[in-house]
Amino acid sequence: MPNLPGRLPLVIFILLHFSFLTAALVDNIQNEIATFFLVFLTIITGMFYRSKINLPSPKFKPGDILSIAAATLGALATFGMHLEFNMSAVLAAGITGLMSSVIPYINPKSDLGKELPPAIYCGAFAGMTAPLLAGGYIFILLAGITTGSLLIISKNAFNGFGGKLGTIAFGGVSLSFLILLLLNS
Amino acid sequence: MNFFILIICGLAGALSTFYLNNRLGLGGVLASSAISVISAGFFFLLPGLTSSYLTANIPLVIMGTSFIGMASQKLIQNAWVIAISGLLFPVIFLLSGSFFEGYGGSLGTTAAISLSAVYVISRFLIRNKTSGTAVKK
Repeated sequence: MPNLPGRLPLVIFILLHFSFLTAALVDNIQNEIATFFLVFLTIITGMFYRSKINLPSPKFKPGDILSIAAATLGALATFGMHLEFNMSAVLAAGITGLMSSVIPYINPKSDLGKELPPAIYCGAFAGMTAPLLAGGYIFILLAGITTGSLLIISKNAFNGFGGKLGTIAFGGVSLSFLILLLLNS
Repeated sequence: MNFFILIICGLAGALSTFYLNNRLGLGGVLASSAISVISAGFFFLLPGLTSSYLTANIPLVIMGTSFIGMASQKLIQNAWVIAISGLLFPVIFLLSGSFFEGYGGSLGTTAAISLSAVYVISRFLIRNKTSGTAVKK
């Protein structure tokens, strides 16, 4: 029987990466070199997902709720700094990440302390959403919760692989747009 | 010219984060956020130093490539994989189009695509090199 909970993050990552590449391809369809490059990149990315990736099923624990709260806090803090203090999104997310990285030093023996900085930083990426697109704090709150939830689902997937947290944030933001679109229709 | 500056920034962002993360043992979050704050803080304090295009895009490219540098050395043993991914990132970043513009996480998605593509090619090259050596023996 296929390992469905373990495979779910893989399906999410494939959907997100191929949606991103398809959008880039559609946008550059009139540029032959760019189209060729993006098709090649899509094939290579497909080969990455065809390789054997061992994904054990995630084991959920009550402390995971704190990771969702941390991601939401990271998203709101970044968005707030960006909006209220006129900081660039990069600076706001960087400050949020920098502040979160102090947490493990408070209690070096705590496992939770080690889990919170990636969750906050992941949420911070969701908080980088342009204010014009987000429309306000409600959207960022939703994006933070969905990002945190996706982070928990993907806790055993692609650990130590660069871009994991950003892809999850992208998924959280996209899912939030989809939820709002369905609610408004 | 702007393109080459972004390429150099991509290389610098990925390698410096990878060094801070793995060699100095700072961890991915601290390494990436420190590099992002330095790059964005520099242009926040000195906004007129370069053209508005570079002022807007250099911090984005450096932060995006810092996500590549967050990779663990246990997984990516060769620093050149990080370097090539850092060079590839600005190309994808510039081609990423307008559909997902302003979406949080799009830099990280670009970073993951860059790294996975270079990772696949590196594994292919290493496998061919190993099989080539085996044939020679």
